[in-house]
Amino acid sequence: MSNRLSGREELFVYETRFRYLYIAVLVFFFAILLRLWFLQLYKGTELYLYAEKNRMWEEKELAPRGMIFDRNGQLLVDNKLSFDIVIRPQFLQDQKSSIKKISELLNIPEEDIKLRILKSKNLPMYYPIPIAEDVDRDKVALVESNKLFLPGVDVLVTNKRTYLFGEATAHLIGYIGEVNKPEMNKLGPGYDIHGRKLNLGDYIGKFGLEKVWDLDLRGIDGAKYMVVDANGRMRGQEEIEEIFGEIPTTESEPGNNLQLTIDADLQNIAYKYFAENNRKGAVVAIDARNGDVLVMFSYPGFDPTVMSKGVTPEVLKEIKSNPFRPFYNKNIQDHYSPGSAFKPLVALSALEEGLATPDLITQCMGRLWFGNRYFHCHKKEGHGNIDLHNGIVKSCDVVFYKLGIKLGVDRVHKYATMLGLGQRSGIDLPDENKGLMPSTWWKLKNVGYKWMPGEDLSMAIGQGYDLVTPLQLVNMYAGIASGNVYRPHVVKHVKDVDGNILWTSRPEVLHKVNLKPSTKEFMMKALWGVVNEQAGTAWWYRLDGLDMAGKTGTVQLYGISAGDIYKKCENLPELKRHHGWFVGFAPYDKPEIAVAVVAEHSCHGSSGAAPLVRDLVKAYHDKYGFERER
Amino acid sequence: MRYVPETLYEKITKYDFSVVFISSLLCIIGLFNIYSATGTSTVVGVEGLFTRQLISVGIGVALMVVLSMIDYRKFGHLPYILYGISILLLLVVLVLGRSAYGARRWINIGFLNLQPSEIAKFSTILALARYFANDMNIEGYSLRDLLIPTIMVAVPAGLIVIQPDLGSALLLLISVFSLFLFLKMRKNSLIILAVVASIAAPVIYNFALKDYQRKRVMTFIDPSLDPKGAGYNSLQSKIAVGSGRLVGKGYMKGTQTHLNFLPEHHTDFIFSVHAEENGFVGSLFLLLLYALLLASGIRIASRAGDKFGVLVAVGFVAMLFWQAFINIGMVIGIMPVVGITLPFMSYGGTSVIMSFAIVGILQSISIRRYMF
Repeated sequence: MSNRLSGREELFVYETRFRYLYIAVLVFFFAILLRLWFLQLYKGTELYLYAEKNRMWEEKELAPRGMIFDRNGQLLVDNKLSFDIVIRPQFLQDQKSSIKKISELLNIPEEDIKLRILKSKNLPMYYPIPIAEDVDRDKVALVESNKLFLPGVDVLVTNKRTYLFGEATAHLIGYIGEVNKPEMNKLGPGYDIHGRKLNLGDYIGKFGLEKVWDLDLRGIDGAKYMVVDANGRMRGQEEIEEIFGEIPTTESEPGNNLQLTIDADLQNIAYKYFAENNRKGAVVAIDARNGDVLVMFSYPGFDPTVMSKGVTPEVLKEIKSNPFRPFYNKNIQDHYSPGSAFKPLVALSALEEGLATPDLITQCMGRLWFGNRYFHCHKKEGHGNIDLHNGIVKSCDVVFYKLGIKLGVDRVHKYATMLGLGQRSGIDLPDENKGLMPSTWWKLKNVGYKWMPGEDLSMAIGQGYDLVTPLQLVNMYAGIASGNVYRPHVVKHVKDVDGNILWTSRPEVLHKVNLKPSTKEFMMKALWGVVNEQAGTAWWYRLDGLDMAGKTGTVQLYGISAGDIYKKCENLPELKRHHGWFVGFAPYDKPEIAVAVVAEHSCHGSSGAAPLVRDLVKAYHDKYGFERER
Repeated sequence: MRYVPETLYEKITKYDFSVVFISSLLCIIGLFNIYSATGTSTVVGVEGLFTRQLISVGIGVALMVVLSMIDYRKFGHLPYILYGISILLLLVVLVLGRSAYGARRWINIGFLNLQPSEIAKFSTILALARYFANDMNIEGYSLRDLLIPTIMVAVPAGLIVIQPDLGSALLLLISVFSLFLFLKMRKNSLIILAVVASIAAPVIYNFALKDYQRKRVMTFIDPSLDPKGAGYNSLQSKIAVGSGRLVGKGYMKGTQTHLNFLPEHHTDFIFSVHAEENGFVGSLFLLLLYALLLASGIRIASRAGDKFGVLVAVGFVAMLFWQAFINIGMVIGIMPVVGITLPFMSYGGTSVIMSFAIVGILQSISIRRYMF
């Protein structure tokens, strides 16, 4: 490297300047030395005694957690005041007699109090230990009036997280709880913004939005400072102010609020539908134009308010052992065979690949011989000569068996991937399931065997290896109908406590769906026909004038021959009955709302799932209207 | 004639062992204090902090050795490239800053949380030294001459401010300004700067800043107004330091630390842990080490073989100087509380690694000095 300035001579100009640097270091040294002398030697004993005898005590002022609103500003989650009775062991004068007194006064068994103290023995002595949570105001008054005789006993005001829509938003919003050791280790020291460090006893989101958006929802706790002596008595403020000046108190800063894309009214309709019919399953509705999630509900669930207060291990075990898995948001955490709801994808693949035309006629005799066995159609006597349109409308299995043979799994896999199957959508909720869209390559790698030609048939009617989440399915239909597969999201805005918008989610296109115009037209007509043609499987659930389109699906869980599906289902034990699907959207030509419902063990997609889709589309239309009508 | 060391033996004989020794000693003392500060804490996630710091120290020392062996004169455009990368990292952390899955000021790369602002401070000094090394100016710099360097520092400083990390940004600005002063600025320029600053400050304060920003500025000036408890920190820290008295309360026996009266004790307030447990004697020892480290750094700068070497050394020494001064100053209550780490001692992977990187570069400069 050539450097014209590398000569030593040119550095001479700096010679004198280094002196200033040394002087600066000396100033630094003596300034700090002087101050250290002042603090440690001149004031040392005073401060030492202060540190020894006096305790500056930080009284936490809990920051209200952010509130959560629906898309129209309807409050979903609120904080209500709650009173806990706590003891601070450091300030109990005579532990034994104090516990006895407290036990008598508040009617709490002595053993319970002792146990609580024992459990917290690793905490600093001044930490408040709750002995009774969420007590009524009478008990608060009792403690307050007896405070003089009960040093170390206090009432702590906390915010109780209250979920106004209860179970209706349980999986979506989730719940909060006290942070535990494993969580602390997992989240690590970096889990903070602007000094919001986690401490034992802090509440964090444990599930759903509360978990994902925890950092935004949690506020910054404030604190009051007081000086107390070893017996817990407060010392005069003047005494400390003399030494340190005014003691700062810090106001708590509330967490940010979330405004969701959810519509609370529609969410409630979904909740009622499942709860009143004791249906198990899930429903998700999205705005097909931008990926806004309008409804997301899963049943059975739990009461988030109760969960946030904390439940005993027994209760938790009971919920967890429920065969219908209340802790799963079935919309994203469970996957199902799509059944006939998969057929439109197969038809679409065939049309796009040029392996079928709309006027293709198939002969359905009720079953098809392939390989070494019969594959049955759900209609035992067969559909006779049937074209592709009616194949979808009437959900003829034989039509799709034949398309499956023609296409092979890999061609379908290509279109399924384009429409978001077999991959996470990236919704802003935790623990999303990927589902599964098989291919020959996948099977060889994961199952270890070659793909069998017979598997093309079961794949084509949505049985076999195909697994989807309700969210994937609704996203796929919305994608076919609107031309874009969006990343679904449930949070519209993050706002600060004054309502200023801090963050807004923007529509994000995951996949562009470029179909031949003829394919698109055919698909829309066929799906419209499912609902609006008399022969359609969802004819009973049509909505006059709203042009709803969609597809039913029925998923057999156990190896019953296809011909016997409908005959036997209602007589089976509940856990063995078929799942029903309905995925619909409206209006069919310019979709605004798309809904997927899975009704577990409801036997039929049409009667089990379609009514809810109809109700939601209607309610949406009543409330917002369709764009085309404006 | 210029002397160019060729062999490893020659390199080692020209090593400035005082810098290595002092920085290692500081680091070891720091580790002891971190162990003391986190050993019995109830603050979340501190269990593994000691080990993590140990790993960072290992990486830092390795980086130091490697950098010292590389000839800094052959850096070429590397400072600019590094500068560009650190700007990019700052942007990355801003973009990731607010997403659904958590707001973060660092980038997680497995074993350590990369803090781009630390890297930016390092690379900005390098880049500026490179800039000035090729720039002859004997009369002193006018404000116009300093336009490009000012932009070079304003970009990373601005990005750090919006993180928001006011402390680190100010540290960078003040370090660079020290470098400007070392390079000599024209008297007129300094006067203009002082006048403009004193006029502009109240105008900006009253008209350009938003309410919450004003609050932040006020807090900077008067910590007792801080709504996030910086006043409390300062108070408890003063109690901790003072209560150490002459010889301290003994290792692991600091009540302020172990009863959690003192917040942030393993990061920004590590000095008060040391002062509480080791008293005036221990604090003085530590202070002496820092002073010696800085003096050795200045000596390296004064013997450097070329202008680039001088400026790099001066820039880094200035940064270490201000960092130590402001950190210790805030712990003992003569500086406002800003989040600045104590070099070599505070917990923080990137901070420790970059501190050792600085020592490595200083060594590289020392090895290639002139012989007298």
